[in-house]
Amino acid sequence: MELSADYLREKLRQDLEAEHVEVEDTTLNRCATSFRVLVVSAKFEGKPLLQRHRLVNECLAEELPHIHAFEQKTLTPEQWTRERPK
Amino acid sequence: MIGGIKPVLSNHEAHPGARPMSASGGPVGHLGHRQPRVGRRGAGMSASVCRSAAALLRWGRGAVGGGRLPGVGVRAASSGGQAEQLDAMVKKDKVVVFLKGTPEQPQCGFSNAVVQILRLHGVRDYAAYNVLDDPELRQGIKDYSNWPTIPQVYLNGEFVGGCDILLQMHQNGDLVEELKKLGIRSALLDEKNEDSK
Repeated sequence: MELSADYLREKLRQDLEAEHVEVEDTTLNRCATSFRVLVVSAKFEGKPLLQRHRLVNECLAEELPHIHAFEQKTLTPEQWTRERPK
Repeated sequence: MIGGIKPVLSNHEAHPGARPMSASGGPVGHLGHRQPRVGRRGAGMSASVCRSAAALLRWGRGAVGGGRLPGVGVRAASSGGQAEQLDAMVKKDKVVVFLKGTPEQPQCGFSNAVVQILRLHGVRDYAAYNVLDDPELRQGIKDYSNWPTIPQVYLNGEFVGGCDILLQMHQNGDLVEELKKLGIRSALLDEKNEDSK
């Protein structure tokens, strides 16, 4: 287990078969290990927000106890296409 | 039952600008916070200290401000395990939030976001529990919901999510709908002409 943005990004990409993942280390803002993630995955289709977030939580079950603050955004590929900065 | 847990309605709007007080003048988060506002700040701190103590007994521990209340003793959780107590807490009020800090003084940006969103919607009567007051509550609620972080929002006894989810629900209109199902009319509906859905 590692707590780097790269590691988290790769783990999320694999476990959730994500087409796009962004992991931002927000530790400096929070004075303790913190991350903000964006995950785009077809696995989120048809799932309400809570369920999507739980999938992410499960993926990072090992790491989360060591992370102080965690923000996440979960989008389906279609939502991402609509929302992504052009 | 010693007092039982008092209705923990937070009506912080009723006393705008009122600051949470502590019995001994100590730091915020001391006794007076174990119990969310019931609109009775001011003189008579001893009464609210007693109520706070009663609320603490509910947890069976005197974990206040880092110390245990001497003489209070440990009340066995005879009314069931912690999960059952939490279950009762989240079901007792339509809107229940677990925060770091209080609605008047959130101690964390995410908890503050939850408070602000509720305020935007004009939700004033909600139960707010400060996990910083009670390490067992802080861990217990995470175990109960199987959710790793605070703040936590419960609507109608059901876990809804944390700050991220509440924010998205606010932005996409879902929160207005969910509040409506609880019989709460969002203040935002009065601000604009809402088309019927």
